[in-house]
Amino acid sequence: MWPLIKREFEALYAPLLLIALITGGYIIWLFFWLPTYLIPRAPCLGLPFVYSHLKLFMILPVFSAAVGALQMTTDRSSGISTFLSTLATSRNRIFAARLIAGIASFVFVLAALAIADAVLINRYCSLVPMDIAFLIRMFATAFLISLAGYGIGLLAGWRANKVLPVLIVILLLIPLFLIVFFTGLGWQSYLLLLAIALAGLILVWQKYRNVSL
Amino acid sequence: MEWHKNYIIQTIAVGVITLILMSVAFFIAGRIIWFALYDNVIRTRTDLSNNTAGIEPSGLVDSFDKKTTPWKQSSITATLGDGFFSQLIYELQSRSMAAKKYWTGNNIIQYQMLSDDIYCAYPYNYPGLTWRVLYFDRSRGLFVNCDIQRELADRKWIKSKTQYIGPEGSSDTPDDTLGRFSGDLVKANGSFYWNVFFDKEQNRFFSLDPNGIKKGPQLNPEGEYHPFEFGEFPGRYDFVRNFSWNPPDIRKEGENRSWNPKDGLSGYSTKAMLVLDESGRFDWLDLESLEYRGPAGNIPFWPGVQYPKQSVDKWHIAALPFTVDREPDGLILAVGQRPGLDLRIGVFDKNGKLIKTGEKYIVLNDLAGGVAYEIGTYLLKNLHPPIILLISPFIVSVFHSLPLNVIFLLWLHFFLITLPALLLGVFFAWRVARDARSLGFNRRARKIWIIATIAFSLVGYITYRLTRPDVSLVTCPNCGKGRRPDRELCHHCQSYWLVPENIAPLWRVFDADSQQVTDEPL
Amino acid sequence: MNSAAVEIENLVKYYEGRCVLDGVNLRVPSGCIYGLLGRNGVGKTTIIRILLGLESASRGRTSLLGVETAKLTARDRGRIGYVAEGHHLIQHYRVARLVELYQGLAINWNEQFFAELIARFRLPMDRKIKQLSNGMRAQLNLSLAMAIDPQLLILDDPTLGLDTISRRQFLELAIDLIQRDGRSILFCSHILSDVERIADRVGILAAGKLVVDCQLEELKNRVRRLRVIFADAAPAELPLTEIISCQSSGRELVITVANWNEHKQAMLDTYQPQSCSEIPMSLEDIFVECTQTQPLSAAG
Repeated sequence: MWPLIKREFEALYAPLLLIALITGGYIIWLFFWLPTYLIPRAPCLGLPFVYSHLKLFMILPVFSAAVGALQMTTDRSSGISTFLSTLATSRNRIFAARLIAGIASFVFVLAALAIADAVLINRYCSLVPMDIAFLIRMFATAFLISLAGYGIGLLAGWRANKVLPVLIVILLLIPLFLIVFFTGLGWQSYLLLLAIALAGLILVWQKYRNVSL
Repeated sequence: MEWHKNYIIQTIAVGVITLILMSVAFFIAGRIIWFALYDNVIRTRTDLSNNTAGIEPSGLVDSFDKKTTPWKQSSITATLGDGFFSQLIYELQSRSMAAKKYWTGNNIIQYQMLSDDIYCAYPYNYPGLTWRVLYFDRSRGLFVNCDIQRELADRKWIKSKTQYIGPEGSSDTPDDTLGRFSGDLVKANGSFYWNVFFDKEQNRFFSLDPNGIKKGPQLNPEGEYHPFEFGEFPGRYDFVRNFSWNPPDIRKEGENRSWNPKDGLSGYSTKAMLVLDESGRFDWLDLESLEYRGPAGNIPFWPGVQYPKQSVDKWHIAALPFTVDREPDGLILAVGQRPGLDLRIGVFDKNGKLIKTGEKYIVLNDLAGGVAYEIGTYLLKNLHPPIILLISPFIVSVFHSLPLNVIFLLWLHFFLITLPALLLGVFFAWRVARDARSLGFNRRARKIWIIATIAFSLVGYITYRLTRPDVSLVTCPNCGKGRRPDRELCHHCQSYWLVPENIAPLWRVFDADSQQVTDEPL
Repeated sequence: MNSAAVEIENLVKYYEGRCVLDGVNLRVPSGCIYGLLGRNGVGKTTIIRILLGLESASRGRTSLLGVETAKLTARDRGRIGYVAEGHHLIQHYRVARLVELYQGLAINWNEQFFAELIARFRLPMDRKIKQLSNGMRAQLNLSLAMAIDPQLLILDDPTLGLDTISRRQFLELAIDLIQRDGRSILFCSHILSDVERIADRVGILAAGKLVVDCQLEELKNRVRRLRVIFADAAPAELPLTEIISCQSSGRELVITVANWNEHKQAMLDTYQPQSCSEIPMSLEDIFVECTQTQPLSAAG
């Protein structure tokens, strides 16, 4: 299984590098901005980076959808699964490896951000209670909307045509954002996003198991 | 069979996605239709008075309104809002310190999301190098009142002058004599009554002040007071705008006298606070003693409805206390059941008695585009899955505790309104049944699809089309209809498989090891 | 215990309304080299793709090494080597990376044997797959398939693109593999001289059906081409069944007959031909006769 996962990560090196640069740059900016700009002017009484996180969290589902679409279109055009499925492996393992790599791509971002937040809060914002529950809800929503976006990207990437998946992804991502916009960061949006994510991933898995390679 | 199991899983997955995405699409379409109508017709093209509810005279300053030369009497105005609401924006703004500008010497707006446990935070010296903060420490069950100041040497912020406040008093150290709060505290709405809170476990109000803490009497759980919300009631969901009490314009001949605020003012009192009870009654709570003073008003204040206790879909309420010399002297309530479409105003005197009412409905048929809106939303509603429309009265009844006859009438009302949805579902089901028969679905599968398509209408039809088996039918040489190549028999005429276009030779060369030993040449 | 390496039962496959396989039954016993032959587009590659699970059948059942295709596990697949027509490898990989991937997934990997093959074929490990020639890709594909020490080797036109020497080397490798107990090979090829050299059994596909399925020597015995000279003009019709082809010219009649036996000989003798001689047929000759577009036979 590990060779398959490694292969999937190698195939995603370009988008992973891009998101790593964006996330790294953002985290560096946070570590610079907080002590240099905010702290000299006012104490840290609440979470100072929610609004800036929101901007990254809006990019993340688009990124995850792009990763999903890229994985599938590359597979179809390069015959990766055709080759791999004749080796000592199974379609389920190939798909699982793909999922692991794809999901890990945005989980790494969230994990890096969570660690950075924990360090910043511990260092600069430990005088008064912080609303960690709110932060956790933000991260949970970001994860679920990215997961749903990833499922949509995988579904859209079935078609070899490179333009159509992009259009489909853009169209189908809008309702995801609207779900969060109207229902907020709570159990209602969790349920809806989780339902879409699970249904999308199950559907892609079913299709993948039965498609002609 | 494996194939069947896969098909069922696929269908359910596609159905869930389609249902959720279509629901979002319907919702957005509804909002677009509404805003297209509202912004283009109701708000901009109609006379403002068409969507404003007004009461004149207000009934709260009768002694002035009855003077011999009133030029303009006191009035209450409230304009219908557009009903827009984003839960996400509400959550962000209600916690964000950016919403409350704090002067820090550099005029910097701090985009910090405060915890609910922070009750108060402000800079109290120039240039903002010391902040006073009051917060609830859950681990200790005590409030902490402290200064946070910036050390000049290393520019770090440190805590100083810490005071711990418990139900029994305050101290510089967190000792047991202070008692403990339960942690299940309810804060007042808004920032005007920031220092008042209710401890659900102890069942009493508290208020924090410079001297420490004030404790109200413990409420009887079996008694008449069950506070639900208190503090400010600005109104969410943007259902009301420009909600105000306007003083009378009284002029004596030869003398201009403008209204003295001491004679009456709308706004929050520093002596009493509004409390909404679970029953729908509003009460005044004395801020000095933290005891109930008496009733302020109630909802509903019109006949024929009950207040939905703890319902998911609460009514939208805005409250405007009326004070005379900071003493509560009346209450004005604005209530909306359908944001943007209706508004009721109720005026109560200082004893909580209803003295005046007003209302405003948008009668869409009277407006240009109103008929189009009604038709548009009616058509949109009928694209919804009929099963959801038909079970919604029961869901409503669960939350509103309606009697059986009302539930039945409500259901009948929904049924008649959604009859087109059912008919549309039947039409889609017919198409699905026809296609499923041509694809050789067995009777059981066809029945399930028919029921599902009638129940879910457009959503069911889309799900069927997306999960329809991708088979190319082949013409059966026996009956001439399309048959599936993955079946032994034609599902129309039950004839065996024939491929007349494949003309194989009449001879075969098989040996004893061949699988085809018994296969006679044609 | 099931001793078949490959089993196909009543396989039917439709592509967009066109029937490609119309009830194919085939069995490759263990330890056998089976050559599957047929003209272009007859369905050989389709059969192989269905066997490996790359394609789904419209109807029918297939199994490899006693396991149904749909239930093949990773371990089962690890015992099967496959060389595809067109050599589907990951084009942008370097040879070394591809080998690493293959090796990482393999259940068995014979490093020494693989190294010998690489050395023999002189394959550059640092070059990208897309930069290799067709022949080199074929050699790499073969080497990878052989290095896992497969129980069953499935080859779809494996020597396409190979020069004569390399083809000979491959055939020797195949024979070497088959010497080991229980190993089997199923292969398709258009180079019938190769098939003739190594195959034990032969199958020929035509019009969606398997029309020939027997041992190679048996096939040569049972399909006979005869030159018959009659005293007078050759008869318009002969009461012989299973005539594959028939050409008459004056007194001479050249017929190719399937399943030649004494009974048919006796039937022919009743016409008292002046002479009847057999024209030797190679596998290629038999293949051409069997796969030509046929009018319906007069008799039978």
